[in-house]
Amino acid sequence: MYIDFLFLISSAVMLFIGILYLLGYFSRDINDPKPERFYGISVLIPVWNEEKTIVNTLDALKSMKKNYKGKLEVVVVDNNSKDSSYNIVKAYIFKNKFVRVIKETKNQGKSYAFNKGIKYAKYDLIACVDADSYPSPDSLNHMIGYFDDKTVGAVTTKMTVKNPKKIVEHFQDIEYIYSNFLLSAYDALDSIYVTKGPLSIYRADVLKKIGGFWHPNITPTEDMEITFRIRKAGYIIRASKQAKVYTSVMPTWKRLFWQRIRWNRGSMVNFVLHRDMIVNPKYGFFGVVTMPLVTLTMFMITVLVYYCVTRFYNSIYLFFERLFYYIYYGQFPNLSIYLEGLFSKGLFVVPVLITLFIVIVFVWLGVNYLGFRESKEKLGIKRLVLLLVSPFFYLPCQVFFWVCAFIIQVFKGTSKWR
Amino acid sequence: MLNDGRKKVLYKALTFTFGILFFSVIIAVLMVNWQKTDLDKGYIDVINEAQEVKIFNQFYDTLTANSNSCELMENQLYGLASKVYDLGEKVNLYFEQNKDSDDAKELQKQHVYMNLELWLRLIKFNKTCDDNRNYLLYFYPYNCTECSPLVESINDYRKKLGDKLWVFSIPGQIDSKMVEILMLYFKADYLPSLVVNGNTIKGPEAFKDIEKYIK
Repeated sequence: MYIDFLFLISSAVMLFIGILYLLGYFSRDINDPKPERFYGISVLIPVWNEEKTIVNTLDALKSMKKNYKGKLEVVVVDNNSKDSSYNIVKAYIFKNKFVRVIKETKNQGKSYAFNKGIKYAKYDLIACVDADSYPSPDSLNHMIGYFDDKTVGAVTTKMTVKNPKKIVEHFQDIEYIYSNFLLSAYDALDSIYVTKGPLSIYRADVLKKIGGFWHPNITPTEDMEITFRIRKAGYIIRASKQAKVYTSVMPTWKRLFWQRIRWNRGSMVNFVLHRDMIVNPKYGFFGVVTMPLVTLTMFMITVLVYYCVTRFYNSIYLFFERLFYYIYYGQFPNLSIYLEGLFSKGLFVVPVLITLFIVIVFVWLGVNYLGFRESKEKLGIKRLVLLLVSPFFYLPCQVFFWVCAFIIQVFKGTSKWR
Repeated sequence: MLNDGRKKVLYKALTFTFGILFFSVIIAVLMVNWQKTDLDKGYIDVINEAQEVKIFNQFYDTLTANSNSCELMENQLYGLASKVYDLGEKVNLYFEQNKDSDDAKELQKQHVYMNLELWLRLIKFNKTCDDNRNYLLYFYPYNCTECSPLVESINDYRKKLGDKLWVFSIPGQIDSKMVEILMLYFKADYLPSLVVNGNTIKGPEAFKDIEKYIK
């Protein structure tokens, strides 16, 4: 009964969040602003054992440079890779003079590499790109217009998974598509709290003013943490509607697990580090609404997923148990009673929950549809099946990652960049 | 502070959310009332049939008052048995759907009493008409997964012996003084327990000893 009540409250809160994001999404600007001038951009790529992907990333930046009217340089910071990443970049530089490489003798983490790159960067804007990400050629042209507004400190962009092959990659593909809807909604509501690693552009002077990225010993997710400090410095964060970056995702469940542990621990650490922003009117909608809601969401999603999954699996288990008896004994007098019970009140005891649940399912379908629309991706059969399976499998996995991250965070202090 | 546009979005979202919640509550009230009406109807049906059984017994009791006609007694026994079994299915259905309601508990109790009445009439019939029909009282606990082999075995005996074995299933945890006394009388202080022709066998393994006491 208590869990029903908790589910009811969680459903109401999640419904509110869903509606808020939907309304936010519909109030967004559809196109990015046209740039008044083309700023010089230094693109920083921290590299650590990326020999398989770095050339493709550099090629993507080469075509981006061709499409960009302003000046552009690429600074690769090799974090003492153990593979041939450094030599590959050196060979690449030979034919492409716009790329420079800095070799570190010790791996001190991604944020250290970024900070090193910031020192070497020549231009007013600094774009951070992951070494396994591939921005679309016209990305910069779409993103740059936001910097004509002096209050914009950083601009981030949508992400799509590059050639997903395995099931685990397809699940992440769907997740990223959905997150593109969220990004547009967050942007309209001034609620962006992560400048995404695969491609984000920052004002160089803002990065210098706030002291660059923080060390992984302080936060495991530097891209999220810096967003809070940019906001605290009085700047806003925007997201491009038309730019896009393709990125590689974790190819195995094990690697996904550890990635999410890092991300989730990062979220917890960052929210605790910047708890002074929660319900603080100084930070506008972000402080008063977004931060409390995101904090609540972490708990509410756990309750919702736990409730739905246990109810669902319980019903499936009961059904097969009854079916087994029916087959084994030839007769099961209570089968009809069981079926009636299942449909009348077995799944959700309180009728309010049924109505709310139906609304939430529609909202969920709606936001996923908008995610596909926003990402300009097609919903094939494979994606549809995985999308329908995800609430019963991938979402519980995410809750599991959250719980593990929480336990690890409580019992273990520092973390290192993977 | 919040700008006007975002404030508007926030207020709209709040309005929509409360609207949907309100709508959900209205739907819920309608559903509960609809379900209640349906259940009330089921309850009334069962009560009517229980009334019929009582009249049926009174009818035969009057007929057999001044005679010991075994034919009449047997007719009454079979007539009552078919009514009690039919009613049992409805009572079980109602009970499964409304486990926590007082009405369901009361109905189940009434049905147990009818079963016991049938059992007493069987004993009387056996004595009066010198018959040897076996009876089996099955005192069962609620939610007993380990009772399946026992139930299966009872069903097998039922099939094998036909009307030579009469089975009376009685929930041992029911709130009834009469059942309590009956269990005390037969020393059935464990659930599940069987009483076969006056002999008590306890535990889920009781089916192994049924044969010993069948006449």
